Amino acid sequence: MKSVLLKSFIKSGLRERETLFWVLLFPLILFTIMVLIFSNMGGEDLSFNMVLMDRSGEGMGTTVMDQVLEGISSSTGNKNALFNIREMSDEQKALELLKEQKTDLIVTIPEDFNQQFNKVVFFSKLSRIEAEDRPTVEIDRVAIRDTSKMSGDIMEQIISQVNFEAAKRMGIKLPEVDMTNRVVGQSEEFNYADYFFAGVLVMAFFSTGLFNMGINLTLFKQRKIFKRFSATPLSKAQLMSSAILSNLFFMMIAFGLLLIYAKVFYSVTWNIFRLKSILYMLLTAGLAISFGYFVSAVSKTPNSASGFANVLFFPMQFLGGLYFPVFDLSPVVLWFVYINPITYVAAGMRESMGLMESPLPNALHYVVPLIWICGMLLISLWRFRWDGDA
Amino acid sequence: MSEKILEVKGLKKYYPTVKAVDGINFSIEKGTVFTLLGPNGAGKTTTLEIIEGIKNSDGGEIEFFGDKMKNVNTETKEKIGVSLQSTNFIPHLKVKEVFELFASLFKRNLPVEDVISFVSLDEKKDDLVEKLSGGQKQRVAIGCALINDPEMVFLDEPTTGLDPQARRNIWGIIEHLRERGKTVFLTTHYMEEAQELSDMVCIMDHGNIIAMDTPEGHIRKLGERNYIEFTAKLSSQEIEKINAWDVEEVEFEGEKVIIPTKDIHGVLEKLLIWAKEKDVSLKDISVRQPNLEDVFLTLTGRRLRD
Amino acid sequence: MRIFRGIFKAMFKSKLRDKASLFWTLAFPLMFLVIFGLAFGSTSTTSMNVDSEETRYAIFIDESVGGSVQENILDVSGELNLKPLLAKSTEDVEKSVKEGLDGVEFGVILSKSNDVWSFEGLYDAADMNRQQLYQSLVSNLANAFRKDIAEFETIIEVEIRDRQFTKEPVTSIGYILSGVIAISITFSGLTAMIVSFGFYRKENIIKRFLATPLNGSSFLIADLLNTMIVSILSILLILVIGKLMFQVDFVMNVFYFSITFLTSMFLMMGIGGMFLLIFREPNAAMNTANIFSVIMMFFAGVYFPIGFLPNWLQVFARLLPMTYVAKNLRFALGQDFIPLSEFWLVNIIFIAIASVSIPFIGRSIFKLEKG
Repeated sequence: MKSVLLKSFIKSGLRERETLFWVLLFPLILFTIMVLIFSNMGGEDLSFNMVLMDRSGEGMGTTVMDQVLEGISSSTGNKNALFNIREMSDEQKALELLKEQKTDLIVTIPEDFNQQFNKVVFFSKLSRIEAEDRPTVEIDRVAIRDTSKMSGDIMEQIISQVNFEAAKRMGIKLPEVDMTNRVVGQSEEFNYADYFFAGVLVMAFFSTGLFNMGINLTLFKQRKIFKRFSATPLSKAQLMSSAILSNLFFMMIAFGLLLIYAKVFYSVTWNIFRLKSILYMLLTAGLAISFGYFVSAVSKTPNSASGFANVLFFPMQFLGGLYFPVFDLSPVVLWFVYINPITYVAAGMRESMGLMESPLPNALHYVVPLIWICGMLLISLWRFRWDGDA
Repeated sequence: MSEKILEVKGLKKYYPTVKAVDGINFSIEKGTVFTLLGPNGAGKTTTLEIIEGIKNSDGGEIEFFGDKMKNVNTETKEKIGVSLQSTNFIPHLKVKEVFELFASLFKRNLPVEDVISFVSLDEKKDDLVEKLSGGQKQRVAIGCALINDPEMVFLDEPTTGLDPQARRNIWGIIEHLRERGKTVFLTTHYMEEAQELSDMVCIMDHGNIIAMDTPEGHIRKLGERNYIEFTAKLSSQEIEKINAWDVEEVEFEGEKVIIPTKDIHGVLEKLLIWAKEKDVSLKDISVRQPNLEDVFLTLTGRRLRD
Repeated sequence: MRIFRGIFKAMFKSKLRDKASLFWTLAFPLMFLVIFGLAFGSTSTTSMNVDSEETRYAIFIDESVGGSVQENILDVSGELNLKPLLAKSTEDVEKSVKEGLDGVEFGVILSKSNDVWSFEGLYDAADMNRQQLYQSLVSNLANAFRKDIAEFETIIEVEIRDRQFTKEPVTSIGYILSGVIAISITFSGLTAMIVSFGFYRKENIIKRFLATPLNGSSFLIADLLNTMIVSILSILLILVIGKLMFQVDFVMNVFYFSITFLTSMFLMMGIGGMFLLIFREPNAAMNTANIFSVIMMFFAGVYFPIGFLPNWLQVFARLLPMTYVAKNLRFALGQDFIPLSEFWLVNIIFIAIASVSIPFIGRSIFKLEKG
């Protein structure tokens, strides 16, 4: 009897196009979007527009700068070049382009560049040359525009490297410096796809729990479907467990689809045989389901259930560390971060997958979600009306 | 003879796979209750919606208040009131607000409070329409149809889905409308509704009008027939036996046996004697006169309910 | 006028009493603003406010370095507005970084091997957003150290001039605010036609009106006007909350803002209506509108600069209408600059599309009803 009921719930869900989209397909879309955006920030596919005003004429300094600019310009056919460089002589026009967002920055090599360059190169050993007498590359940018700011910073770094190259040619011995980067508490194989995989998975579970289960249970209450079942030998426990299991089924399908997609297209490193993460997934699923139950217990109509679920879920997902780290946010919202159960399951999920250490004590990954589950269940058991009446 | 308020000639409406209205003709006299009776899918609602100006026809002519038109114009809409088969209103509005809205759509309208009283919704006027019962919502729909004090009122299946009490309430409203001299165009698939309320009944099936007469006129055409009804399990031989009496073909509705006959006394006597002899239990035995359901069955070979 | 007043009044009351719709139109954009404002409003992924306090970092100088380089570290850190906190071991640095002890934001392990200095930057995994920035600081630190050790003076100086083309300085929360307004207009516009023509048609509400003297244009205009009123209310709330909570400064050009609002709203209504014509079933049209909104939110430069997207995605992003709505809004709010010609061109295109699509949709829906 129960298996037939479970199958009915599942069939009903699978025939609901909205369920199929939001529960199964949307996580894939969101995952793709997040990975595409974040993995490119600072990545190889960045390119900026530059206006170059070279007033320096011929000279050693110009030669050095020309070589540098050639190396970073797309005009040489270098597909991964950082800058699309356009040469201009009119400063007003160049500023107009910057103003109108048609260029990210303006690089100006002034008239006296070569003079000053020569002075430094040939006479710096004799006497100190003040900064204002040194050849200066002027960079105009708009700080509020992230791309403009970033391109300026990058250009500054490039000039810095130019200095070192020039020093080498001048015979100045500079110490060799090797720079490496390491993220503390993160596995060596970490990539953005792994980070978002965990976040989107938690989102998918909560979507199913809050919306699919929450709204559907409310609908069944409102339409007296549960009332009808109560006139059969089916017990309430059997009824609820079938509803829960059907939603678990959808969560597992969502997980499977996301995993296959993420592994095939983005090489996520999640190990499906890792028992800790499987158990943690079940804990997350349980938390999501308890929230769904809670939504249906306090809502009278599917519309109000939907509204309430949205009000709950929106801040929970964005302030829960699903898409970006949240522990350094303003104290105004930090309190919410720390009471938000999603914060714990997101960090716990990543930790259980071996992706990155959580900034939270390990016990909290389990204790806090369990407290929430108990709380939600208690309130729901008290408030839920099978007959749909207030 | 009172004047005609509406005349329909050769009205057609065709869809890709079905002829919903196939060239029908009829006319309605002022101050009467005209009913279009037929089963679901007969074309009643389509006919009504064309005349109400909701749908365009594919052919034919409508003469409304003496004006000929292919499709109903705005001026005509000022003079008619409409209650659709299933009506919803702009959500989150109170009863009074819905009436005020519809009142604003016409050049001439009755005071909203009067209409609210007429449909007995005084106590509900400040309630949201979506919170009303089915019967109350139907009264709102009828109230909206009356707000512009129309000369002719169209009611498309006004009592479908309502409980008997609610249905009686609606019948009461329709009676009042007739008393006030309004012309009512009613569609229904309930035989008793047509019989109870109508001055003229037009029977429609598969897009065609198959008969048009007063209720009594329709029944008279069946002749002196009466019906004996009872519940019993009869064998085929027993049925054959009954058919051999002075009866028309015995009919069945589940376990209910219906014997149409013109010799009611003779057949009833034979039936009772036979039942006693054969020890056949005849439960719920009754005799009735013919009704529109029987008329429809005679005309089409099907029941209205089928 | 009587008919228009009647239908307008009824729709207005209905809209104000529709809690779900009010949530999406009014509360949802505010929630966005508050959450994203608090999360990202004072930070940028690529910049530090140079006028802020020094940035603290933990540094462990390995014994392989030999000699004393602490002075050098202190000097170059001072130049870069960084404050080094000396740690006793690599583990101490890792702990400081992970736990943010003493306000440490990143760490450096300095060692030397075969005359090659090694700067290993350490970053907190939970601070992913600012990793790029910290890497840049470590790189600057390493370069400055290199020069300092060799007593090398920079040959080529760099002078960075941060230009401002707006009357008031703009903050990142200001950018977010215009993005939120763009989202609000988009949601309101996309769903308006779907609700009034889709759901109303499904519920036979339009059918009922067809039997009255109410004409399609009165219905349409009343609906458009109602949607615009609620949207204006939403925008006012966003501006007020932005000002009160985040002290956003904007210098609104009311004329440009009004133009942008009107054309953007109409365009989104037209797009929503087209979804309805394509899908007929209002739930399907609504779902499509929601998906379209979500995609635009991510790719329209509202929360992530388009320049950071892969090139092929940038092309896609520049096709999305919300990209231009957000740009025009920033311009109208004095938060960025675009050429006036571009502003007008975008608005003309928007209104051209809307003026064709909206009446077409209205007529088509009514025609569908009439069969």
